[in-house]
Amino acid sequence: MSDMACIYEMNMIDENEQMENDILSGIGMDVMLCLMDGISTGREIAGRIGVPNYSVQLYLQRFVKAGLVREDKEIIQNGQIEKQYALISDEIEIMNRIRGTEIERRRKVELSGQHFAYLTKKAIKNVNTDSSKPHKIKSYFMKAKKSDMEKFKQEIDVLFEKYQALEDLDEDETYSLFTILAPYGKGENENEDIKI
Amino acid sequence: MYDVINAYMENGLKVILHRIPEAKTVSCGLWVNQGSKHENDENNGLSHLVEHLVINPQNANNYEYSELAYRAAAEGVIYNAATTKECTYFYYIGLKNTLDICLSCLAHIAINNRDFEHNFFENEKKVVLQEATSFYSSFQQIKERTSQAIWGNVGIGKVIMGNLRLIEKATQEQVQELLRVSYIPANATIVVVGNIDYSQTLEMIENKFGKWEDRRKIIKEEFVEELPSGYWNKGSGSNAVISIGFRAPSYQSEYRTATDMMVRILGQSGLQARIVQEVRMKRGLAYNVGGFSNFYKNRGTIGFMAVCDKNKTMEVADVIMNTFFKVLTTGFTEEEISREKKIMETSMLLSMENTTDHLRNVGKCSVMESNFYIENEVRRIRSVTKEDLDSIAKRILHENNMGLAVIGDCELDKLTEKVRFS
Repeated sequence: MSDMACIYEMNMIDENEQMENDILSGIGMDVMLCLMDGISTGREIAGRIGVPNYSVQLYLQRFVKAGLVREDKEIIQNGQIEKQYALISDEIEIMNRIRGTEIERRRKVELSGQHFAYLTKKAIKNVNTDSSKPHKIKSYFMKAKKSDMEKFKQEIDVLFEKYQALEDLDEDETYSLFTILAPYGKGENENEDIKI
Repeated sequence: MYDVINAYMENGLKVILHRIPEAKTVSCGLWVNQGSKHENDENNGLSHLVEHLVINPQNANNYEYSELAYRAAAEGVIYNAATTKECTYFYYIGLKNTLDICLSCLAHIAINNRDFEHNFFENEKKVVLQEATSFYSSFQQIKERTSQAIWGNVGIGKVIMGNLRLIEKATQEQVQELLRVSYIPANATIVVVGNIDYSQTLEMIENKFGKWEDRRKIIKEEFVEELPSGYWNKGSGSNAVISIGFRAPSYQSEYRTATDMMVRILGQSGLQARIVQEVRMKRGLAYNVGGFSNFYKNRGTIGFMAVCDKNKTMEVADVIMNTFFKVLTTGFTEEEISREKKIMETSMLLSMENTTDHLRNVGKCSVMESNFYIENEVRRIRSVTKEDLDSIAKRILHENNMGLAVIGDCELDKLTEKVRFS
């Protein structure tokens, strides 16, 4: 009498559908951010995140299977095969237009959101180390009319174009401007001035 | 004193003879250094298929071998074969006067069984597929999956049963190519154990195997993945099996005996083993639970597994990890070390009293280019200290040395958070 249905395939990872669709669960996003940062080996990623090598491999294999990451094998000394990983596409960053099936859209939105958060965190930390340079970090949550927000959005677009027009490629310093004008939900105000 | 004759024939065949004056039976075997670690993604499973093909006397293309095999069986000879990650071996056991016929059968396996009648070939493939299907439907595959997780699906990580799809499509040409390259004298060892005369036995072997053509052995480099990983399969049914494995020293390593002892104390020493105590006896989380160890020529795998309800996998993992933590903080006790030493020594000496087990010990060592001496093995067991065991635990039970194999529908992300040392 058998214990279970025969496993015919030789894949190292064969999960249920829910897990396949939720590839950014657990430390998946941390692994993805390491890859975006250019870190390419499982050992380095495990060291950066502080988790066992084997668990990083789970997420890397999920990404490879999902077609997000490429796996390159390189034989190193003593007969050990080192694997290096790289993102398939540079487009796994902030995307203005998100297309695809519902599952793909959810995945991309999650990736975009996390990447955005990563970038803003980096900018805030830079302010902390160099507060003499121009900076402004502020947030405000409020209830407002949709029509007023639409007008305000147009003003933000104009302001953003004005900012981009100030670009000077001969300068050394890079500045960042992030804008998030978005519905936040129907809860209470969460006003908080972020002071550095 | 344990004496052994080691010799090489002119064609490169290694011969190991061990005389046991009081033995009433004689055992002889052929070890060929061809196992799953020598396979790749295109032929994984062929070593095992070849084992079936060359030993089966129903092949109409070698009538002489069929006759010999049936005569041997009529004389009460028992024969069998097995494929491992490093070798394929065939052995015959019978009364002292059957040595000649047994060696003749082995000679046919080594030299002549290369061409297979079509229906026989296809039928034997079906048999192998049945065996493989049964294996891949069993929780026992978890030990192989642990090796796969630890070393990758390459080299020593390759599953012996192989890829079902490849076996199904296997051709005679592929099988013959494997036989041509691997079933050569320089890649093989003959072992004979029993109440034998060394000179007569050597002469018999020379007569039967002398015509085996000497060919150059192709040395392939052995590869493994740099980092341990995992094997995860959602399985089916209400049960799951989990195995936490670790990379371990090789057979020849000075740490091998201590590692073996550690695995036994934690998981193999019957109901007294620590993990068995914690998982089964105290909490009733599993019936089938324990440790396993495999030592190969260049590396080894150890693991601790449990078959449980799939909703209990997290709890089982927690209990096993806590057992490891306790060992790492408080070490092993003198009582359990003393007990395990006696068990291991008894088990070793018992295997010497059985000519088949004895034969297999000698043959296994020859594959790993080591010599088997009972005195050495017993000395190694007796000399293990608490410091050795505590030290080996710290060396092996380590996060970067660890892999996980799971078959069953469980929350893998949460499980990986549990199965860690930091």
